[in-house]
Amino acid sequence: MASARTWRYNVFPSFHGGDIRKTFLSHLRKQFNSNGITMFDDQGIERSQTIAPALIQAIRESRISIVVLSKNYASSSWCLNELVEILKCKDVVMPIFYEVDPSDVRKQTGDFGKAFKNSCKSKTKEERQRWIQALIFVGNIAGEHSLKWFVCFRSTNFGAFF
Amino acid sequence: MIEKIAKDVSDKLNATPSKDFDAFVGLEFHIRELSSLLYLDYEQVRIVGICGPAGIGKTTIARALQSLLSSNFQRSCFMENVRGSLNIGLDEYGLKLDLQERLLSKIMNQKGMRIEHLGTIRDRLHDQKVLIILDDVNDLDLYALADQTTWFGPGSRIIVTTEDNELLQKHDINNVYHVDFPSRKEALEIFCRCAFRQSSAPDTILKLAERVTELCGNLPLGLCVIGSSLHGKTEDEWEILIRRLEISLDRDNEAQLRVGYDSLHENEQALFLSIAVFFNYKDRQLVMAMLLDSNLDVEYGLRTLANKSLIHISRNEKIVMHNLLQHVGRQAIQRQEPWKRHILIDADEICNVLENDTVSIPRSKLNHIVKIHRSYILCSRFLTFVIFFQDARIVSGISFDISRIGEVFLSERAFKRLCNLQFLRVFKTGYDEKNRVRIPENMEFPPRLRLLQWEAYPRRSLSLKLNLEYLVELDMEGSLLEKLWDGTQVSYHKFISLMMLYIFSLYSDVSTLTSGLHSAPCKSQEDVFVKFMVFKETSGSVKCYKSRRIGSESLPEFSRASFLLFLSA
Repeated sequence: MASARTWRYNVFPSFHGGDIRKTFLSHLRKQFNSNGITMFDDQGIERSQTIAPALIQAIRESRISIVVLSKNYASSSWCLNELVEILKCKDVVMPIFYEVDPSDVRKQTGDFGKAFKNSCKSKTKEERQRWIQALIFVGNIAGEHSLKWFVCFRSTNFGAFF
Repeated sequence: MIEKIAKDVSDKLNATPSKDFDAFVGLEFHIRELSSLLYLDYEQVRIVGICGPAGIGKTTIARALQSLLSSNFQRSCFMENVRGSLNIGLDEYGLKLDLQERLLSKIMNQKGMRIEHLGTIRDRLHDQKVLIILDDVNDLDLYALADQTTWFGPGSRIIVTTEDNELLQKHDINNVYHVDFPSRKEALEIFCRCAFRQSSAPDTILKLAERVTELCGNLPLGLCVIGSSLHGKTEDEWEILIRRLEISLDRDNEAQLRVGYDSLHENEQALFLSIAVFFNYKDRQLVMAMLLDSNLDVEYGLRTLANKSLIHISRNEKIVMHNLLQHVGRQAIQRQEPWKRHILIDADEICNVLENDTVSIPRSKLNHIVKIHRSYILCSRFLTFVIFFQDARIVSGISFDISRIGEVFLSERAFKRLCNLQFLRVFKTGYDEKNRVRIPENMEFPPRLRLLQWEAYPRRSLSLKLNLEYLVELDMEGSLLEKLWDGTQVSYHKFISLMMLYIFSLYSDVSTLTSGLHSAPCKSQEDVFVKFMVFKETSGSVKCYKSRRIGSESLPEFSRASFLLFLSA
C-alpha cells in the first residue's frame, strides 16, 4: 500500500509562461483558491537551461501535476525538462490541451512540432529522445485518461470564453 | 470551464490512496493477485470475479480496489447489496430496468434516472472507460448489468463478487480470484487488530489471544466479531468467553458469530434483531425514528454494535449488517421459546397468528400445560400457537415471507390482538402474481404501526383503518393500490408531511416542515428519508410504480407525476 504522506501543494502546474501566465493560469489559480486547492507558485525562481532544484523539490511535494500544453510549450527546453521530471515522479498527471491538438503533441507536428524542433537543435540525441518519449506519453493520457478534458478544451474558444 | 477543471482536480485529490483499509490484514496480497487478473493495461473490457465464502472479506477487498483504481477510470461505481435490494414486485424485465436505472444513476451521478429500454446502458457507457463493482450478485443481476462486454468502453473493468463459483462459470467469467482463508498467523493478527487495536497481542495476554483465535477458526468476520467483543475486557471475561466458545459444539463459522451475539446485553440484542430482520441497509436516521420511544437508547446501541463489528455504518449513514450476521439474528429468534418472541419470522407461525381467532388461556393454566407437555411443545404446532397467543401483545415485529405458504385468510381481529405491533413487513422472495393473502373488509391495522411494508398488497385501497400517528415508513411497492384511503382527498404535500412528522420531530418543529415542503428546493428536505409512492400514469390507468427517496432534487419530478392520495377524514 502506498504509504501515507503529507503533501505541501495539491497541484504543481507546468506551463509556458508567455502563453498563459497572465490569462488562463491566473483564472485557474483564482478558481483553485476559492475551492481550497493549493497550487505551487514559481514566481521568483530563476529560469535557466537546467531545472532548478527548488522546482524539483516542488514537484516532489505536490500531490498531482497539471501540464498545460500550449502552442509554445515545447519551445522551451525548461518546460520540456520539467515535463520529464514530472512524469518521472508523479502518478497523477492531468494534461490540458490549450488550443493544441493532442495528436500534434504525440507526433510533434503542427505549430507545436515546429516549436519543438527548434528546441531540439543543439541537443544530444539522448535528451531529444527523452523529450519525445515524454510528449508521446502525455499526448496519450488524453485519449486514455482524460477524454472529457480533451473534448471540452478543443471545442471551446478560450478567447471568447473569458 | 475553469470551474470544471477545478472540480476535476478536486475529484482527483479526493481519490488519494486511502488509509481506510490499512487495518485489513493480508489486503496487499489480495490486491497483488487481483491486479494481475485485472490486467489494467489491456485495452479490452474485462470482467473479473471475486469468489469466496460469506464473511471472508470479498466486499472489503472490492472496496479497497475501487479506492485504489477509480482514478484510472473516467467513471466508477460500487453497486452494493445488489442481491438484497431487489424490488420483488416487478417482473423480470422490470427488475432489469430497475437495476440498470440504479447503476446508471449511480455512475452518472444523477439521481433518479429513468430509462425506457435495456439498451440504454450500452448507449450511455459504450464510449466510457468505467470501473463497476457489483457486490454480491445473482444470475439476473449479471444479465441485467454486465451481460456483454460491448456495453462498456475500451479498458473498462467490471468486478463481480459472489459466493457462487458456478454463477461465474455460467457467465463465462474466467478471470476469478478465489479469496483464501487467512493463515494462522494472519488470523491472530486480524483478531488482535479488533481486540487490541494493534497488530499483535500484549505479552501478558498472548496465550489467551492464541487460544481464542484457535477456537474461532479462521473466518475474518468471526475473528473481528469475537475480537471486538473482547476489546477492553478483563482476563476473567476472556476466560468466560473461551469457555463459551469451547462449549459451542458445532465448530462452524457461524458458531463464533453466535457467541458475539450472545455476549450482548439484552437491549443490544433486541436492537440487533430489529436490524437483522427489518432495518439492514436502512438510513440511520430512519432507524432512529423507528425505534424512538422503544426504551432503547438507539444511538448508544448502534455505537456499541458498530464497535463490536456487528454492524457497520457506511459513509452515507446507512446501517449495514453482514448477511451472515443477519442469519445469526434469524437463528437467534428461532431459538427463543415461541411465547417469548418479540419478532416473528416463521411463516407458519405467522399464519397461525393472523388466521385464527383463539380463546386465550389464563397464564396459570398455560404454565401447567407447558410443564406437562414439555415434550410435546417442541413438536406440536398447535400448542405452539396456543401458547403464543397468550402473549400476542409482546409481538413488536412481523416479517412475513409469503412466497412459500398456501392461501391465508386474515382474521378480522388478527391485528387487534397484536396491539403493540410496530413493524409489519409482508414480502415475497420470488416473483409470481398469485395473491396468497386474503384480507377481510373490516380489518384494522395495529394502532402503533411504524413500518408498513407490504409488497404486492392485494387490494385497491387501504380501506382498513391505518393510524398515521406513529407511521414512519409506508412502502407498498408493486401492489394493486390505487388510493390509500377512501374519503377526503388531501394534497400529497400534506400526506408527505404527515409521514415525515415523526422523523422531523426528532430535530425540528413541524411548522418548518410543512412550509418547507411547498417551496422546493429546501435544505431540510435533504435530510428526509421517507419512502414515498409515485404513481406513474401508464396507458390511462394509474399504477403504483415505485418508491423514491425524497430530496429536493426529486421533488419537481414528483409534482409532474399524477397523484391519487387520499386520507380518511
